[in-house]
Amino acid sequence: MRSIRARLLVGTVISAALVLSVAGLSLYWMVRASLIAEFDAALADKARTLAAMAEIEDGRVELDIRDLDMPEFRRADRPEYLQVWGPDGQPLFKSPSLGHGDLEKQSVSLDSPRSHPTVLPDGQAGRTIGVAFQPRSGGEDGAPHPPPPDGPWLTLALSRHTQEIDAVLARLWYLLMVVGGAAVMLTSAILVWVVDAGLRPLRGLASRIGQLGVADLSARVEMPDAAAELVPISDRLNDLLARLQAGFLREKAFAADVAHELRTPLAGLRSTLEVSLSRSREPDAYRIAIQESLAITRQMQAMVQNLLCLARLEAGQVQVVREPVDLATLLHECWEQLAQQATERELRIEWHIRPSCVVETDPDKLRQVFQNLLDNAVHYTDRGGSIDLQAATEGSGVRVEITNTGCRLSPQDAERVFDRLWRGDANRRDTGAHCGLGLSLARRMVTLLGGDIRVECTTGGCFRVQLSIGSSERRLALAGGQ
Amino acid sequence: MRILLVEDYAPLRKSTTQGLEEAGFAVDAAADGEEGLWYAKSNDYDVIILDLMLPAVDGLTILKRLREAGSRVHVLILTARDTVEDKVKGLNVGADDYLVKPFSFEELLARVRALVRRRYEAKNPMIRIGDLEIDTAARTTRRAGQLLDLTAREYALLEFLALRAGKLVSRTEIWEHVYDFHSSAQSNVVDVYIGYLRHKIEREGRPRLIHTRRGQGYVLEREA
Repeated sequence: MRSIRARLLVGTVISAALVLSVAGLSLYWMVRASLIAEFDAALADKARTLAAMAEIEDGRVELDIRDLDMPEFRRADRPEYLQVWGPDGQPLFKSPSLGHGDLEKQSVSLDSPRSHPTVLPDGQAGRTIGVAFQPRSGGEDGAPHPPPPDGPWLTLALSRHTQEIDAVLARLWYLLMVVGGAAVMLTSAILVWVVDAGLRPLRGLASRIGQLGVADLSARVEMPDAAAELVPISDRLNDLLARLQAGFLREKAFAADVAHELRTPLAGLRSTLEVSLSRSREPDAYRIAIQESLAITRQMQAMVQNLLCLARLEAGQVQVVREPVDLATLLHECWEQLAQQATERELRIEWHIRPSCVVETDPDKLRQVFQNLLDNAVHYTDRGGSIDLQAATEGSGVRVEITNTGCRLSPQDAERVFDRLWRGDANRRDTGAHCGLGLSLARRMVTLLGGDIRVECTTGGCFRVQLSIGSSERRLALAGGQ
Repeated sequence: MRILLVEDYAPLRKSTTQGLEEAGFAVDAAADGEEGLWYAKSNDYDVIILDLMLPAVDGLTILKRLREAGSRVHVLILTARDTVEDKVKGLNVGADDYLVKPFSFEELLARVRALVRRRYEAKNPMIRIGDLEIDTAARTTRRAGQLLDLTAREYALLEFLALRAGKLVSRTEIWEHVYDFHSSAQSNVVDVYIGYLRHKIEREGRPRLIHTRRGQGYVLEREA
C-alpha cells in the first residue's frame, strides 16, 4: 500500500473495530456472568431448600419432597428436574419430569454451589447444580437437628432451563453486533474525513511544489500556515532550490562570460577582415591584417582549448598517464614559447632549479599547468619586473614556486583567482588574451595529478604560486608564507 | 566628423579606427576608461563609440559622468553584452545607440553616420545647397549633376560645413571636428583645405558657395 491515506485509514479503522469488539465482548461477558450468577444463586437457594427437606429417621433417609406439590417438576413446558442419590449412589428420588432419564451426578459443597451447563433430558439447554449434603436427623418433635457427623452423604442434582438467559444474551449479542457494526462504519466515515483533513496540508505542499516551474528557479515553496511537520520539508526544499538557483546562475554567468570572452575577439577578427576588404590595398596591408587575424584566432583557439579542457576535467573525462618527468626540461620547454614576449616586456627570469628534480606524473597535464602559470607571470608582471622560478624535491614529490613582481591581489582575492573567468581587475585587462581560465584550469589539473596549488601576495609585493606534485604529504608546508 | 573610440581590445581598436578613418572620420582611440574619459571631456566629439567592460573606469560610468557634466554627445555602446537588460541599462544611462559584438563594420558605419546626422538635425542623408549635392551615405558630392573627386579629408570638411549650412563655422570648430589628435596639421591647415575645396567645387565660374567671414570663419550657403 503506497498511499499514506489508505494506510492511515486501514490502520485506524482496524484499530477502531478491534477496540469496539473488545469493548462489546467485555460487556457481553460481564452481562452473561452476572445473569449466570443470578441464575446460580436462585438455583442454589432452591437446592438448599430441597436439601433441607431430607431427614434421617431411624437410619433411613426420608425425603419430604415427595409430599410437596411442586408444579415446576411436573409441567410439560420447560420443567425443572431434580434427582437425589443415596450414599450408595442409587437414585433415591427423581422428579416426575425426569421420567426414566437421569441427571448427571456431580457434587460440590453446598456452601458455594456453582452450576454447569447441561443438555436437559428434553434435549434443551439448561444448567445443573449438583451438591453433596448430609441430611438432618429428624426427632420426635419434628424439630430439626444438626446432621450427625457420621451421617450418610446424599447427592442432589437440580436442573433448570436457561431459555430466558439465552434469549437475553442472544438479544444482547445481536444488539452489540448491530451497534458495533454501525459504530465501526460511523467511525470509518469520521476517520476518512479526519485523515483527509489531516493530509490536506500535504496535498497543499504537493500542489505548491507542482506549481514550481521548471524554468524559474527563483520560485520558492511559500507556506506561511504550514503544519509544523511540513516546515522542515518546505525549508529543505527551499534550501535545495536556493542552491540549485545559485549553481544555475553561476553556470549562466559563466556561459555569458564565455560568450563575452569569445565575442570580443570575434568582433576584432570580423572588423579586421571587413575593414581590410573594404578597399583594395597594398599586399603588405593585407599581410598585416592576416597576421593580426591569425593572432586573434590563436588567442581564441587557446581559450576554446582551455574551456574544453575545463569541461572535460569537470566531467571527469581526463586520463592521467604517469611517467618520470624532469622539471628543469619541462619548465625550459614551457618558457621557450614565452621568452620572446618576456624580452619584449623587459622581464628578467631567474632559474633556481635543483638538479635531477624528477617526479612521476603526467607530462602533458603538467606542461599545461606550467604554460598557464608562466603565461600569467609574463602577462601580469610589470614591465621591467622579474620572475623567479624555483623547483626542489620534497619527500617523494617536487615543489615548484613561481614568483613574479607586481602583485595586484588583495588578500581576499587569493582564493578567487581560481574561479573560472575571474580576473584581478573587475573591469578586465586585455580582453581576449587573458580570460581568467588559466589558474582555474591549473588548479583542477594539479588536483587531478594529486597535488596542491596555492597563491599568495608576499610581503615584498610579489605574486607567488606554489605547487607540490607527487608528494606523499599533500599539504603544502608554506615556506615563510605562514 | 570626429569620433572617439574607447575599446580595450587592441585588435578591435586598431581595425575599427582604421575603418572609421578610411570612411573619412577623424578618430581618437582610447584603450581604457580613464583615457577615454579624459578624451571625451577635452573634446567636442560628434560620436563616442564606447565599450562597456573597460579597465580603470567602465563604460557605463564614463557615460554617466559625461551626462552628469551635461554632455550632449551622441554615444554608441559597442559591447559583447547582448541581454535585453544590458541594452535597456545602457540606453537608460544615456546612450543613443547600442551595437552588440561581433558586428558588421558596415552597420557600425551606418549607425555612426546616423548619429552624426542626428547631431546636426539632418534627417536626410542627401544635403542640397544650390546645385551642390552631398550624399552623406554614399559619401559622394556632385555639382550640377557632375561627380566631384574629393579626398577623404576634403569630403569630411565639406560635409561638416554642409551639415551646418547657412551657419557660421569657426576655424576652431572645423579643427575640432575634422582633425584628430594625431593630425600633425599646421594652424593654417583649415584655410589650406578650404582652398582645395573651393578649387574643386567652385571652378568653371560656378557661383561661390563657401564664403569667408574674415576673422570669424566660413559659411556654406547659396549666395543670397
